[in-house]
Amino acid sequence: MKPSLMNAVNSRMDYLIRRQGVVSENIANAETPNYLSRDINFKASVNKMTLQLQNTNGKHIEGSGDRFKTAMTESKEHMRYDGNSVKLDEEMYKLNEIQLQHRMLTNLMTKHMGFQRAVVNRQR
Amino acid sequence: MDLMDSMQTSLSGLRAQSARMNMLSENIANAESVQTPEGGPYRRQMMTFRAEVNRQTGMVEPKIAREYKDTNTPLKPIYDPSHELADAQGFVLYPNVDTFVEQTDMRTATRSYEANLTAIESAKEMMVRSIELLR
Repeated sequence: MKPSLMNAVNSRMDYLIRRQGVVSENIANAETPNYLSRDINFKASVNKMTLQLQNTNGKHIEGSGDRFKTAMTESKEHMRYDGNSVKLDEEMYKLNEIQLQHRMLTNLMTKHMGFQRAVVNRQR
Repeated sequence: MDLMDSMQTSLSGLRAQSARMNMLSENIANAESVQTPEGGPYRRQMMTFRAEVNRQTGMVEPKIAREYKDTNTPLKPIYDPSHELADAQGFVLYPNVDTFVEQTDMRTATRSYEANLTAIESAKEMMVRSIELLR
């Protein structure tokens, strides 16, 4: 994959949407015994992207390694007596963080598309 | 998984918490019910959740694991000899419901419910923002 702004934005967008899902899971399971609060490490998820399954046999199915699965972390930091470690305020903070970053990315994309439009229009 | 799936997960959280809130309000409503069709006073209801993977979305959702009656907390004997159901010593057995405990649980459930709503709101905002890119 050629490094480009759009690729970088895409990869980050994927991560944000996935993280939003994980935070939603945490919030939904805030009262479930033995559920550990989870999160995804962006750095780890990016590093995993370069690793790909190799086809050594024609019968092999194309590897669709989920790069986020391996970058998932579980925290026992705020574990309560019922084995649950979800802290609602912390999850709310994460939600806000995700939302702000998502907002920045969409603005960045709009800007980028604006640039492209400007270039195209100039050629007329 | 996408934003729709995470909304689905938050929805399951809403469902779990509202089931819990229903149960808690039943407890509060029946805090003085000394007679039930099964015989004996009302007993406090409880429920536990368990995490279950939704096969469609692949996400972990809360499900009601068990609904049961609290048999560990003793019933409350209250001295009232004029009562129809009083025993030989003049005591009537009242439900093992402590309204303070129920109200505290209710508060937690409400807080959790609201948190799920916020999560849905945030997923929605992200979706709207993505759709606006098309303009």
